[in-house]
Amino acid sequence: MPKLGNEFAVRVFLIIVALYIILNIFPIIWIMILSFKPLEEIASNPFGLPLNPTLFNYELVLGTHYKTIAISFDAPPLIPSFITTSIVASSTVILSIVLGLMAAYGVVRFKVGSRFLPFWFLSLLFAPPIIFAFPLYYLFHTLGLLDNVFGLILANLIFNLPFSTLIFISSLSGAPKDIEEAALIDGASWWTILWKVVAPIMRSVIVAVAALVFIFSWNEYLFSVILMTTTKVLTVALGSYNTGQVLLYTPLAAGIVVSIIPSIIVLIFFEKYLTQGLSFGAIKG
Amino acid sequence: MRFGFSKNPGLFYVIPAFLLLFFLTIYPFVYAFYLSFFNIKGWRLVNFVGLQNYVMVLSEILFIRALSFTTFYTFACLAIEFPLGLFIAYIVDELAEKIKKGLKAITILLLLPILLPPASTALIFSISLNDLVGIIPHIISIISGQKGISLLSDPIRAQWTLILIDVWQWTPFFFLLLYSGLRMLPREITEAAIIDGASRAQILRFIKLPLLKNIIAIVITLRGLWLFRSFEVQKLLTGGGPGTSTRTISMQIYEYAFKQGLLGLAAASTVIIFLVINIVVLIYQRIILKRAGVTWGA
Repeated sequence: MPKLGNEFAVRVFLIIVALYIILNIFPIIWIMILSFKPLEEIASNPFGLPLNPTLFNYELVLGTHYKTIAISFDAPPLIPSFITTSIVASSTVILSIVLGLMAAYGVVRFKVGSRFLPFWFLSLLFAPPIIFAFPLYYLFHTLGLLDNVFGLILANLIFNLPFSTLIFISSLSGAPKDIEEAALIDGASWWTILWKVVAPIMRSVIVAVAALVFIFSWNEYLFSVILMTTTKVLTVALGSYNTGQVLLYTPLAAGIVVSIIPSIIVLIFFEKYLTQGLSFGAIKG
Repeated sequence: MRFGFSKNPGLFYVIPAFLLLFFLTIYPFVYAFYLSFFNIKGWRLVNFVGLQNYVMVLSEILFIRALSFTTFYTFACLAIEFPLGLFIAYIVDELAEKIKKGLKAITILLLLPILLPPASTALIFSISLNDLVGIIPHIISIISGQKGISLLSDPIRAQWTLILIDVWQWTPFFFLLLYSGLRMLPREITEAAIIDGASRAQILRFIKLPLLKNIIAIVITLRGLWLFRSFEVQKLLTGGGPGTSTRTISMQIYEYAFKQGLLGLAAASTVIIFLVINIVVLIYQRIILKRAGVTWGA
């Protein structure tokens, strides 16, 4: 690490980083401030701090005032969408981890499909989801999987399962085999070894992948908007709050804050894993 | 490769993921490929038309326009995000020793935009860019003295606004990867260069950047391919407008398939985009990943 020439350079650098951070979080902070303003303040006081801070917008979007509000507001309350999205995201995490670990284990330790599988999965990671969305729409229509949480979970796996598998493949191929071999000699089956020996060793990679897959599926929009027409997930439900009516911007702001809170929580608690996972994922695949 | 569970127990582990993704991607894609040779009305195949759908797509002005906007958008975003991300990564790396305690907080604040759902990003900016109550036109009018600047009503301005929104959301991704790259470089090399009298700029240009070559290639390809699929922000913020000036290729296929019912065209464009993406992925895997020493345990 080169030593900085003088204190002046350090100060300039600090100021640049501080300015960049302000720019980075400014739109989010502004939306948060907006979400605490009463409806009428959007017109009288759009830019300042809330004069009469209120939780009304949150009560509105979460459903408490839904029936009582006087103005035309036909957007659905977000609680059911929040629950649907949580179910979809957590199921996608579990399936991506379990099936991804199994596939990586088969590819690395038994060389099954080690030639074509990585390329295929890599191409799935990069293919625009729209190219699967419309044939999938027809397939799901035939199978009755449209508007079905299970169908959306399957669609989410198109990106997330290759993602988890590829990261597990690269971290597993770097892991030493001796403990596994020792367990094999002790009479453990391959299945037991995978879950009792390999998985614990890969704990931190698994946590990183789980956090990322959670965020990816939480944020997913395209499959949700195409495959879920009546049961709406959060990102789609939020879209119907954007009526273009300026007067409804404060509840929309509250809805946006609700939609980003889970990711912020994941970021704060799993920051180390996320940064490692993202860099590892990108650099190794 | 051997077959049969008894000979190779590995098959059992790979098969669930394989079958699932086969059912979810190969089968639909083959189906789209099949559809691309037919004239389709209301989900019913009318007649075989050979390559006519492909000819129509490739000569259709909307498809070409969506393709060229997506390409322009991809390169413009990369051209801003990469240098900016590198600059911030370099500065934070230089400061890392001084601000050890705040480093975690700084990383969290820097990474925040990446984690937002693109749909929420679109809505955040849909509010912030509003002519009447949006904070961004307000700030612009304070700085420039001009009132009532509408950023999304003019095609060129709308395109650049979308580019800057992507820069806002995704520069942190470049920061993160380049920063972890810089952190991994051995300190001895730069220390030796300082003793030899190299300036900070020279160290970055002639020592650090060449060592980061592989990571840079990987990050740019990754982001480039992901930019190419852009959909949410354009759909929710500009709806592809004004006119069709900000319609991306994903939106165009969406229009064909779900708005206009032109399934033959949707299928043909799906096949075309699939081929383009796979050529890039092939190059990425054969050249960039190989050079970076990623072997996939094969």
